[in-house]
Amino acid sequence: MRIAALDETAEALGLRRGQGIADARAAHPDLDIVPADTQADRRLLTAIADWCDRYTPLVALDAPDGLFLDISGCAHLFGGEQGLLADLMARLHEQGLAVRAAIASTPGAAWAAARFAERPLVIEKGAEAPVLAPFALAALRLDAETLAGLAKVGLKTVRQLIDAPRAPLARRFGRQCLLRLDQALGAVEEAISPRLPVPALSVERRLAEPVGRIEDVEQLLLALAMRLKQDLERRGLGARALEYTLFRVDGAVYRLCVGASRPVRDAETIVKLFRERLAGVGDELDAGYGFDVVRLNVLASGELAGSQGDFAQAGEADDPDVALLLDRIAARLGGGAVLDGRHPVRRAVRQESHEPERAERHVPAGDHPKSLPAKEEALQPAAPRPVRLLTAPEPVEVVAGVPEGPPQRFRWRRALYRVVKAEGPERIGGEWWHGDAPEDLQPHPRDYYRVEDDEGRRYWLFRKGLYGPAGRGVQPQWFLHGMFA
Amino acid sequence: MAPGPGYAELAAASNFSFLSGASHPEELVVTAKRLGLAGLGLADRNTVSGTVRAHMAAKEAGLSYRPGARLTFCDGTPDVLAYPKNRTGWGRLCRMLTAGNLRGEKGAPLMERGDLMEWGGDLALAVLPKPQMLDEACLAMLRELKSTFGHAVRLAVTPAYDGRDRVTLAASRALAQTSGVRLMAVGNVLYHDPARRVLGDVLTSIREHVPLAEAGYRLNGQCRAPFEAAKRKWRGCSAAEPEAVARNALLFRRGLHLLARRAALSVSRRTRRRQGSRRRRNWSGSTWAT
Repeated sequence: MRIAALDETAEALGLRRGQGIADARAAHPDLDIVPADTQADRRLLTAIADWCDRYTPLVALDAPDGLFLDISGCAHLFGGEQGLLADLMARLHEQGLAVRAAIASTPGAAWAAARFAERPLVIEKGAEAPVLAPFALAALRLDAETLAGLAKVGLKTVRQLIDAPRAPLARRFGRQCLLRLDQALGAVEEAISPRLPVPALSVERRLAEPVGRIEDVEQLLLALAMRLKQDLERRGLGARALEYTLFRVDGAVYRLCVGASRPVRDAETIVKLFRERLAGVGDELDAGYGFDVVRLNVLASGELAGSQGDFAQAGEADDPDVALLLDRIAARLGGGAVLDGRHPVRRAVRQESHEPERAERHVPAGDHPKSLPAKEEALQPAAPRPVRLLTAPEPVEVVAGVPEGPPQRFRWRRALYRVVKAEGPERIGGEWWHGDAPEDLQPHPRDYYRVEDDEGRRYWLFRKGLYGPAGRGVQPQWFLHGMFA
Repeated sequence: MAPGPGYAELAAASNFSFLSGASHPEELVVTAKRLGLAGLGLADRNTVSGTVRAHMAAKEAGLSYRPGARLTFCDGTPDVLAYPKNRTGWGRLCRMLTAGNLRGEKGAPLMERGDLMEWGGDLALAVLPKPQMLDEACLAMLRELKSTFGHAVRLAVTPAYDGRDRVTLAASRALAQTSGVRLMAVGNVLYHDPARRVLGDVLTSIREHVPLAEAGYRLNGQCRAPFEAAKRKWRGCSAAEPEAVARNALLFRRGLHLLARRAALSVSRRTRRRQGSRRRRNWSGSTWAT
């Protein structure tokens, strides 16, 4: 057991990270020791990252204890880089967090300055080398092994590394050592990977006086949606997924997502969708001391060309009111997942497949799949399919003739059923093109039987695998897969 | 295992049935021998081109082999397996195929029922209707064939593994009784090894011009473990349909062993002749050029 983190008091006592707990306790018996919780640390870091969204949409996690913010083009909104840095540190300090921060034109330099500089720094472009030079080599984000190796040959500060001949270094310590140096000094570009997708369009409002009432939140949303409408109109787009972000004064951030099955632009419609979402969230949205920044993001958009309806009101399926209703239901149930197929309001469509599990597919209720040509609609499975298909086939014990006899008796969920009539087998080979493994190329065929028990109930049983050498040495198993009416 | 003659497969298709068979004739022959089949008849779709290769392989493997063809028609007539009974029959079969080829395009002959009626003499014929085609029209056709060709006509039944095999078999039996035609058991083999199913599905999707994942019910989903399944199925059924299985073997017992060699010879001779004339023409072309 070792020390993972420690506070200032403990540091003042001369303890350090990585020291054994027993050692520390021996020296200072009255230490207050709490087990490290990496999950909680990560949650806190994510929460801070969420909060940092107020400065820039490009926030990247640098686990375990750092965040990268790409503030290109954002700083002027906060009174320049100095102003932004001061504002950020002051606000985080108010929340009870001890923070170190620095601004530089490369992530590497900012990382180093935030951890090794005495005070918050703003490093101008091109001025990285003189600032970083006095820092220890640990400032270059090198792994422990490389650091130890460099220390062994007498390289301890960044300046020494800058001055050292490059070729022998690369040979001895690998590319990473010089790459990190170049990244810090800006000779090699380094990109941060933002935690959240950057919205295509975004409007926001900063409030001098925080708002807490739900009516005010909706009112603000309407104002934002109006502004968003102009932007969307100019681009000829409509929003398909929207996110309403609420920044609470004390740092908590709420994100509400809604989706639309067709692109929307109208402010009223957007508010209607979010009203359902707000009602769906209910008490989970705790306004607390109020929200001071609200933002409306367009996460996904689609083309929305103006169109003129026809007189006959043809295309009943494309009724915009129905689409809106579906979207509102989706928003109420917890939408946001509208685009990735996990739409809460779905309907089943038939799909041609011999495998019963794949013969049905769920699509968002608003989608209208192209109906197949009549000729192809006529293709049907060879034998009737049961009215009810179990989610997963359930194993049963079966007495059946070998090798291909129908079941005579079977035991399902501990009840015994006596088969009076049986029809089959229908052999289904399985779709070999789904898996990657070589054995997936030859899935075990299933022999399906329709059976009727002595009380007239009908079941769909199948045997997976074949008896004898054709079964490739695997003993067949029986399953119950569905019931007929 | 039921005593009596073993099962012989008479509806095997090789890759000479373009885009439907997925095995070489040699592979079919070797597998049939390994599984202990009593004999093999190669019946490719409207062609006898696989005869030479199957004959050579069968001679090497020591398997009884019969040349034949599977006639598929463009006018809605169910498929017919045609096996010549003698040298004359072979000639007639080839004439019939030629007639179809002349009518259609290369690779897609247009066969009509009239061809069958005209050239069907001296052939053993087995009608192989799809399960949904066992109806009045099929009965009428069987009667027509029966009145023209007599006892040479049979009705083939095949295990489709579609869950309705017993229904199909019962319907076939009824049809056979009404028309006075006898039943014959076949396996409708498209590949020799279950692992070839992958290739078979790919061929189907190429033939149907659809991506594999969208081919759906057009694929042969039953995954017939071809020879083995057919053999086992008919061994199981031989109690119920002893006649049907026996009839296959009977065909093999007839004095036909010389015919296969003849047929193979005539096919190879014809190819050689065609190549020869082509070569001559090439040479004559070159003289013009100089």
